[in-house]
Amino acid sequence: MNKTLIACALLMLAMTACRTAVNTVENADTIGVSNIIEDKRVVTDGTLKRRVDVTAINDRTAANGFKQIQIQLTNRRNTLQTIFYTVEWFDADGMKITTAGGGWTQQQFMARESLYIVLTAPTINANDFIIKLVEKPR
Amino acid sequence: MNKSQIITVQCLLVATFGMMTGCTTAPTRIQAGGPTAVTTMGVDLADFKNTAGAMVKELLVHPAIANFSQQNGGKLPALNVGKILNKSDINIDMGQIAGRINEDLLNSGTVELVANDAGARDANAQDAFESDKKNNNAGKADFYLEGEIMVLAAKEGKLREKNYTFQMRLNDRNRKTRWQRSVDIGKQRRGGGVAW
Repeated sequence: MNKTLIACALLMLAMTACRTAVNTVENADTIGVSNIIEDKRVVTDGTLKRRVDVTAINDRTAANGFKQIQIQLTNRRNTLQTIFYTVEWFDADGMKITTAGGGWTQQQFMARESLYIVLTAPTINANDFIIKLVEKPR
Repeated sequence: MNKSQIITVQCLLVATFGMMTGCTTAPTRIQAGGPTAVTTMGVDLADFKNTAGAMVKELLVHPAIANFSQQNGGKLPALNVGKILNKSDINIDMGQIAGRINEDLLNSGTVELVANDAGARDANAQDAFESDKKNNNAGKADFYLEGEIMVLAAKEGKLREKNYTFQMRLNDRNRKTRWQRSVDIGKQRRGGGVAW
């Protein structure tokens, strides 16, 4: 009897953990056209990739010539995930451009949620970028 | 005390010593505001950097800044930091937020900053005096970065939550707000510590 109760309690706990999953509804014929760019990936943490993944990156150039990128990050699990991300920008000579703002940002994702992060290049010369993702170090 | 008891006591002493030394670690340099930094219930460095970054990325491409030069014969917009009110319950150094926004805007090459440091002001005042000018336009800004920082607190049982709102505005000389952005930072902790 006790074992059945414990099993039920564990099952209920597991079910409550799945409650935060995100459902979405969008217009079927999307009007906006994204300029999805090809990317090159280096995965050193397979566990993180299985949890939160960069689904797509698209870009555009603003009227004053500044490059903007939009990163779509997706939580692939049925549980809350928290990660850190940062974006580093580089000029035409491949030199990193340092900024006072930005840096590592902690981001929480609901289960199965996709988040869109828009970033602007820090100077008109910044064209290349690297997105870094990491789990909270324990 | 027999031999085995002596060995046991010696082992315990060594283990205790080992545990005590294990409790202390030498200071380590970390990435400031990075993933290994301490997250507080207040506003920490990562919050300042993230908030400034979130605002700069919009200001860089906002028409008020982006089109100013084109509309004013190539002149870059001059920016001055106005008042940023701290309406929160903690002491916040406004330079951390305004300074970072200014720095990134200045280094982007899209704006000029009005210097309010004593040396620059004194030198400018002296030049105005020597050239017999009542005042000059050196301190005249096209835009003023102003705003406020607010806080909302909530608790439920042992769960404590604080939400800080950084609200910044770009106002022009005609008292028109050209841009406004609120960045919210939510912090939550569980437990009955002494901190709020």
